[in-house]
Amino acid sequence: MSTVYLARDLHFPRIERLVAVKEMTITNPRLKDHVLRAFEREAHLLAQLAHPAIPAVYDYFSAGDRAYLVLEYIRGHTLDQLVRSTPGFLPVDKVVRWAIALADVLHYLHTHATRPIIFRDVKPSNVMITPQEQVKLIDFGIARIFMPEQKGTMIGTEGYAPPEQYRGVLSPLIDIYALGATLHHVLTKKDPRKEPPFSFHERPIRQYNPEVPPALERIIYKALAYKPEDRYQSAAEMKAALEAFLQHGHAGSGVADALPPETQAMPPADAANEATAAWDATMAVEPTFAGEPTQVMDASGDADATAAMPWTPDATQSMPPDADATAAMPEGTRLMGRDAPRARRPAARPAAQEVRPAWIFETEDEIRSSARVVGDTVLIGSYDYNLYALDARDGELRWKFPTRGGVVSQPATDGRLVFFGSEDQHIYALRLRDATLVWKIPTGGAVYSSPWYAERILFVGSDDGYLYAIHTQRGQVLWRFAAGAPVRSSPIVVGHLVLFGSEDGDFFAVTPDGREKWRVRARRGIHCRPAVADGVVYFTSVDGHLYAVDLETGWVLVKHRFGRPSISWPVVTEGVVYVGAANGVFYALNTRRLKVQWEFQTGHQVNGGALVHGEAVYFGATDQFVYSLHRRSGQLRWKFRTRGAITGTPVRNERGSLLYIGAFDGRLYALPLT
Amino acid sequence: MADLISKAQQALERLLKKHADEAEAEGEESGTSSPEARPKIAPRPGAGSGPMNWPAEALGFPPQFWIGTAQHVGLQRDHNEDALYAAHTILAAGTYQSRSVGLFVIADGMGGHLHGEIASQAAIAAFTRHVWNHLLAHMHWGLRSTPPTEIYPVLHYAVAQAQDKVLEEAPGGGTTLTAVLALDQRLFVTHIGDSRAYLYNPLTQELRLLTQDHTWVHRLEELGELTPEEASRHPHRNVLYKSLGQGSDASAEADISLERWAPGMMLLLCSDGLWDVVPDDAIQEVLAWASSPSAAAQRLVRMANDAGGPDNISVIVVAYRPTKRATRS
Repeated sequence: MSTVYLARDLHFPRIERLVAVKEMTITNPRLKDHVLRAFEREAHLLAQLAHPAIPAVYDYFSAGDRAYLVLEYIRGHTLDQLVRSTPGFLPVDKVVRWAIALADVLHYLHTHATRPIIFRDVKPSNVMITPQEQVKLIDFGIARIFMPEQKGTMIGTEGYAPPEQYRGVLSPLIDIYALGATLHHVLTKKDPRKEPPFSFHERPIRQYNPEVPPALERIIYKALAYKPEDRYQSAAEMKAALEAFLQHGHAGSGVADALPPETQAMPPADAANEATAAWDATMAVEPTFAGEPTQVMDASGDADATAAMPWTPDATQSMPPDADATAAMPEGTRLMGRDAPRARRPAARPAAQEVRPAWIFETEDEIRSSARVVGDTVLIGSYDYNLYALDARDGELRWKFPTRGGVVSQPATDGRLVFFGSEDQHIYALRLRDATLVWKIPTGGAVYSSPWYAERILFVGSDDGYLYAIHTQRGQVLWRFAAGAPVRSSPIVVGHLVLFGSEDGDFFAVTPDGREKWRVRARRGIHCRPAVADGVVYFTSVDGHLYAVDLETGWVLVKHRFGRPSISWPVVTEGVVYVGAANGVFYALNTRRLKVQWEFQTGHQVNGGALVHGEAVYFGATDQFVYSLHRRSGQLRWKFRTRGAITGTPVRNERGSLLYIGAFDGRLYALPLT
Repeated sequence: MADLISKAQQALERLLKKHADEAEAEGEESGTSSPEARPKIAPRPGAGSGPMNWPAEALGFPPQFWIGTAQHVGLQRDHNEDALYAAHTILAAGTYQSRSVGLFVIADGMGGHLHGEIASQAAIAAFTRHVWNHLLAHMHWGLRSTPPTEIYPVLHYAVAQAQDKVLEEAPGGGTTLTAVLALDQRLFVTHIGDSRAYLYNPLTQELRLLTQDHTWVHRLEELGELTPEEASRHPHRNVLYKSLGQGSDASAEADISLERWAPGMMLLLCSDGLWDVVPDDAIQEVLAWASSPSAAAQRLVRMANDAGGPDNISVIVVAYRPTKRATRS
């Protein structure tokens, strides 16, 4: 109901004196007189206020069914705009200084002589930051006169309002809560209006932004206390806490310089458009982060857990310092804004590589696929034509079985037999114990697909364009389904449906007797193993998308665009899909709308799948690293460098103490699962 | 002339009577029999409840979605700000691909005269229009049985369109929106506000709430700050933190979920004029024993008024009837 104009005050004709004119329309003509009187009262009230953070009121008037307020023109951007347009987080120091300024102006309002004023609307879009980094509170609720609250409707600023505000309770503690909510939003970039109310505690600040020191997090959560009596009891108290923090809670200096002065005036209405440009310029000045160096191990001190473990003496692995590990690509975790220009952060503080392999097994050619653990045996195929069976604890070779082509598929097992495919066009069944060949079945093309075993039937695809269903006891093909193009993707069976994709981009759901139930057409090939959770199938395609499809009907519910091809195997846990793409980014997407929760940039491509274990997620990239991230925030826990690209998915042993991952350097690494 | 007319009238009467007799014999509610009439056919053993869940063969009826709606201004309001919408068709009927499609929406407006009722109608108009244009029209006119595009984004955008329309047509007003898009056994629930959608399963006698109320009081209940009893009696229990037309666009994001139902089950959509005054077990009984969705809907409205009728009441009841297959069993 209000529009803001940039205007020139003609009382001063010889100079250009700019003011802001706020025009408000009276929507309900019956209430016109009442509204105009209330407006006059508010204008008088505003005119009495004198504080650097409050825009000056110069004049007011009404004309027809509109009322006007003439205000000091404020240049700058709202906190809301800054949060949205800045890639990465705003520097903590700045935010704290702004918080102190806000607490100061709130204190002024709460203790105002003639009548204590509760702002009631503290939120990022009501706070402006000028080029000189001054804080201004705008939108003084004068608009509220024009949009009176009604019974049974929403009250207060949703998201930033405390629980008691819905009861119509009015107290200064409302503003304190809202200030805490504003700081939470700014420091986590999570808009509380999009979350269930009062759920700030479910999004711990440091989990999203580890730059925030624990002391500051505590201050904000005190302001956000559910019960008013548990919060700071006055704005002055909160301001004092923030000031004490700024002085003592921070180590060292290095606060970012003042912003470069703006060269041209910007009408407030256009500020949103200029934000990106202006702050790109700003962000070109590298913010230096005062405070603790980036933690590599998570705060609980897991660094100690990776005590040196014995590893095979012939391992020539050296641990290069991180300095050269950080490739030219910018690295680090980014929340949202993946299309925004990337901030160049200084290289993360060297991650002390405390991760040492338990053992390493070397084959003679690239390992491209994923291992399979059964009992105390690890099975892995290599491009050197062999399938290997190793002791899971110490990597001792139990046996190896030669084929006539590279073994690029992850083996499957029924506990007694091992099944896998080879580039030599055969599907093999061996006895797990001693590698005795039980049967082998020829197909018309190389077998890259990883087979799936379910109830005595083995499902596997071949480059000859068929999906095979094989009776494992008899070693006989029960049926084969013509997919029309090579099947390199690895099938899964869920609820009597066999799910897999083809090189042509068709994704099929096939019944147990080999008939098509439905198919989804993607634009390019599908190589992954799909994942299913809650009746929804997830798969990636070289066409650059992650698809979420209804399992029963095959209807596409939603898809997410990476922009670059993906052959990564999606993994779904607790409402989050973890998946990578050829743009080198590893994503955590929420299953509801496939919205990005966080993303992590690696040095090259993420082509394999991930392993989720406890609070961490593990995956490899073709930049030769194995990464371990906190699965909720995407923060790096550790990374381990191999000597070759990694395209497989890590798997873990039964006890959950080791993970196994192979690389193009021909080695299978057993890393401690910490 | 009079002769012809009276002959035609008699013929018409005979036809109507024949229809009424047949309907009565098969237990279906007709315009003349009372809604409470108990039909003469014994229920199928194991079905556990009333006529709406009997196999189609018993009633001789092919349609898959059997719909009843009812609306009342209540006893304490002087005008109605609720709006409802119920549409149904069968795509590719008679073929292997035949699909029953239904779109059911309830919107409860707020903001007083000239705001509330405009808001609720505007929201429904924009939402249903978008869903038809971008999803169902392709299936209907293109004679396809598969949705042409991803479903969730269409529903989210339809809500955004509804939000824009409400702001445009009823500034200062607001509305809830609870919509169920039914495609055979799939239910896509799009919901914002405190109207509700329930699913009733007669075999388990379970009445399951598909939506969560976006009220502050419900949120406090979730957080353990209020007991369910306190919440249901709270004087401010209708204050919403999410709705269309109020607040910012950021908070006008609807919950979208995918549910499944099976033949025999029932869908209920209602505004808080019903659920706030009629307890769940009473609702369940009506759904279990009414002779038709219309009867159920009307009865529910009556019960809400019997309980005081403090608010506008809107109800949609949809029974999912098993299909009569072309081949004989």
